[in-house]
Amino acid sequence: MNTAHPPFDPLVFGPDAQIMKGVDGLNWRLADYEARGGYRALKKIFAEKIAPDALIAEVKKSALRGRGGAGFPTGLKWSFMPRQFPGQKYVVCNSDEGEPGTFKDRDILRYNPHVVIEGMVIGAYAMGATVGYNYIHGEIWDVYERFEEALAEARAAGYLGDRILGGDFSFQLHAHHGYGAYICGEETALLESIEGKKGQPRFKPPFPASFGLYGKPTTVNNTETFAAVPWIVLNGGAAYLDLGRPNNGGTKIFSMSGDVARPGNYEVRLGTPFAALLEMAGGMRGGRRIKAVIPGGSSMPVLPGEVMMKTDMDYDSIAKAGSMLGSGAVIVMDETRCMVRCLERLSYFYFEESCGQCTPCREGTGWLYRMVHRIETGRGRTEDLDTLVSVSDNIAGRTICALGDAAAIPVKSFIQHFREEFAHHIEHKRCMVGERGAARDKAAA
Amino acid sequence: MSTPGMLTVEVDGRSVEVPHGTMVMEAANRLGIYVPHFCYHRKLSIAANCRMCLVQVEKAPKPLPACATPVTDGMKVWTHSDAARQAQNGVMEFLLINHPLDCPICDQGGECQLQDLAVGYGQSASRYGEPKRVVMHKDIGPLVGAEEMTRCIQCTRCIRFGQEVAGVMELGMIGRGEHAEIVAFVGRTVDSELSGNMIDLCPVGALTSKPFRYSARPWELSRRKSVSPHDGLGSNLIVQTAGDRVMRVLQLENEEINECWLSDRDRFSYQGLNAPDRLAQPMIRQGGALREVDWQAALEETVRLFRAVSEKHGGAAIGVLAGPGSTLEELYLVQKLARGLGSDNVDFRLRQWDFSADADLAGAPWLGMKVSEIESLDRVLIVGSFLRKDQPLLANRFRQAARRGQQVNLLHVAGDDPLVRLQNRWMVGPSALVGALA
Ligand SMILES: Cc1cc2nc3c(=O)[nH]c(=O)nc-3n(C[C@H](O)[C@H](O)[C@H](O)COP(=O)(O)O)c2cc1C
Ligand code: SF4
Ligand code: FES
Repeated sequence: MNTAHPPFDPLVFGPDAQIMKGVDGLNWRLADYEARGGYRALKKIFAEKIAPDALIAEVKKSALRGRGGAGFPTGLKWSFMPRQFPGQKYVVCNSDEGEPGTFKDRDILRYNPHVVIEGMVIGAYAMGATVGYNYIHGEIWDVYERFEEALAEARAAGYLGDRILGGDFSFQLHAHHGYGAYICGEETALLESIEGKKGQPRFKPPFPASFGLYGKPTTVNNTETFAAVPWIVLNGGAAYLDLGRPNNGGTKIFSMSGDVARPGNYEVRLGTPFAALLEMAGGMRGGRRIKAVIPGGSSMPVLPGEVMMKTDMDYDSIAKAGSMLGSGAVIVMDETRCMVRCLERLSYFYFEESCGQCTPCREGTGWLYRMVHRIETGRGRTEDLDTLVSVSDNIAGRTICALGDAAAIPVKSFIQHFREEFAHHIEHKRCMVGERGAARDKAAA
Repeated sequence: MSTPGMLTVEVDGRSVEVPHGTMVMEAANRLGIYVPHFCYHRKLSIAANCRMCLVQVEKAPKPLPACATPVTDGMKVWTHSDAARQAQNGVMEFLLINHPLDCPICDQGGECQLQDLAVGYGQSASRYGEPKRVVMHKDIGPLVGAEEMTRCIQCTRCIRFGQEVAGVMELGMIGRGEHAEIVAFVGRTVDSELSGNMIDLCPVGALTSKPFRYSARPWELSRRKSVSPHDGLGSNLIVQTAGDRVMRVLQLENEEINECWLSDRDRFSYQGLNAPDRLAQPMIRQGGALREVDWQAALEETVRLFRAVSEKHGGAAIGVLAGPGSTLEELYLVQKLARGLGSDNVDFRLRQWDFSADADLAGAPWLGMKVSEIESLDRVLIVGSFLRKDQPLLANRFRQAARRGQQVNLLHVAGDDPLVRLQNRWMVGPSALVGALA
């Protein structure tokens, strides 16, 4: 089975692209990657005999933060791996990418798979791991197949496998595909899934660095995180840091979706103003007014458009504005969007994707969805809004994994910023804004 | 401040020293402080999924599950503070929204952990006004009833019991989120010889005893302590009766013997007592036909027959064979009776043919150590035993010990799987067994 790859507009990655620099949609093969300077970082490490510790130090200096959602400093995470561990160690790449709005890892793997392979080999070398897996979302089969091809190329060229580049380091990397469950993106559920078990998060501690895949020390990083590593090795941590802002090093791929003129992936320097990013995406579709933005994937708090227009796109600035950068999925909503309908859609997702293991999430996500659904369908009750907030509070922070928080955060933030729309829906049994609201008004008249 | 190698933890203002690796739940238990819980069970692995045991821990931004949070030195824990109570009440509300609350017709009523804890942590009215979940019932065999799976709270105790204690995974969870449900493998039943323990473990009325179902309320029954007659182990039992009728049998915890478990044989064989074809009256054979008589007549007839034999041939002509499942006390009385009749011919080995080794035996053959001590052995050789069927709970002792590194070896005449991790297994023909041992 080989599905056609969609057409491609290279411009979307923007002038500052590092990970996607020179990528045109067709040049994904090894020879193309080498022509762009690919695998030079790996060669440099072996030629200059750079020690693992020095690599980790360089990544720390770069202020690279995990691109999977939590923004955890990557160098610090790598340093948690036990140095002198007698047994097997693993590195795992998280390409499960299930968060609504996020579609960057898919494009990295599709258009530039070797940058991930190179990043993983470097990471494995830095952490002393000899086996790795790339866990790829099950609904992007073509990407999985292409990655297998890329692996074969890298092995044949000596970048992967036994005695890489003729040196002492060996690293076996395997592709593994899931079946599309969002929860398998949570790192410990992902590990369970690789082990062939049901994808359910593990209770932490112990963390993967001490008890990971098959109980062995493991580091899980996002696709984009690994993809940033070769550049750091080649150009140095300081240069990477300079691309962004202090504590927010480098470039970041933002998946722009929703009511923008040109949805797509845009790789920009961290710290780029949201307004500039919006402009790259062609501005608001149909010239309509911006109403709300979820700046970091559907599990991050929504912010009013006017707040976002004054915010820069980096971890710390967005946190200051009251949300989180998350996976970098920017969902833009215009003035015609009914916030109740939007939240209903999100709540349904978390209800559907809860693994069902722990009580607050299993029971609470269904409760939240049903309440929002009732409000949306004109059967809301005045007390619902307070109940929604209190049920969210009873979920958040009380679950095994962060999916519980991910379900609670949209509910709380939507009600916090757009309470009047919810109240209107409850009182008038229809939307306050938008075409649906208008259409219903007409039908009622 | 702590003894070397020990950690000091303060729970609800009281200090206790515990070894490394102790969870907050166990530390609290040592102080006699009860932390509400469902999924936690001291004999099972930690799942931390019910979240009922959330407690407040100093410096932790969120409430933490007591069952899965390791004690650190100097840790301060509050199990009943406002923050802890708020978290526990929240979880209880979640557990109840989809629970059918059919307590009046539920077999578990009166001995239900959810019911008990709902009294302390639940509200009298529910805020949940949405449709409730319904889960289909399942037929998983004649002993364990899964007739009301809507009551299940997904604590996974039954699953973990299968995997960890019974040694075979017969139940699992399929589906995600609200659709998660406990099932057996497609078309399969739960056949473990320890399956009944799942009924005890289930904190709600999802898994119930099929033979006992709908036959009595627990508070109507009286309880008698007893000892199982079915194997050499002597598992401790509670026999529950209504009037003269045995209604069910439960485990009586005894860490030295059966821990908190019971084999299905011990748990369910009471049904034989109530079987319609059971001999319930003494009978005398006269002229080839059996006739029911009262005890007085039966005993007089017995005395008459014994007397006739001993007058004619002497007491030594009488032999007494006792059932090997009898208790020590019963066997003692039997031999006393036989000797009173002037006979030394007493035996209980009804199925033994070869007595040539009798001369080498001194005293009664036995295990040579306490049941609980076998777990501390380094190496074990089991010879010719269908361990799981012969001694289900002994098999579990070896299963647990093998997990902790005990080397269990099996020399056997059949490919019977004890569900114990074996170091070595030899299979020989029955006639070669002795040779293989030599
Ligand atoms: C419910 C849930 C889903 C997640 N899905 C993903 C995902 O699809 N991709 C990903 O990289 N991280 C995902 N994460 C975050 C991972 O657990 C983990 O933090 C991340 O892969 C670490 O990589 P990083 O440090 O490079 O960001 C998810 C977390 C949760 C709680
Ligand atoms: S929070 Fe939800 S998804 Fe995460 S472990 Fe609990 S039930 Fe599963
Ligand atoms: S008892 Fe601790 S989470 Fe269930």
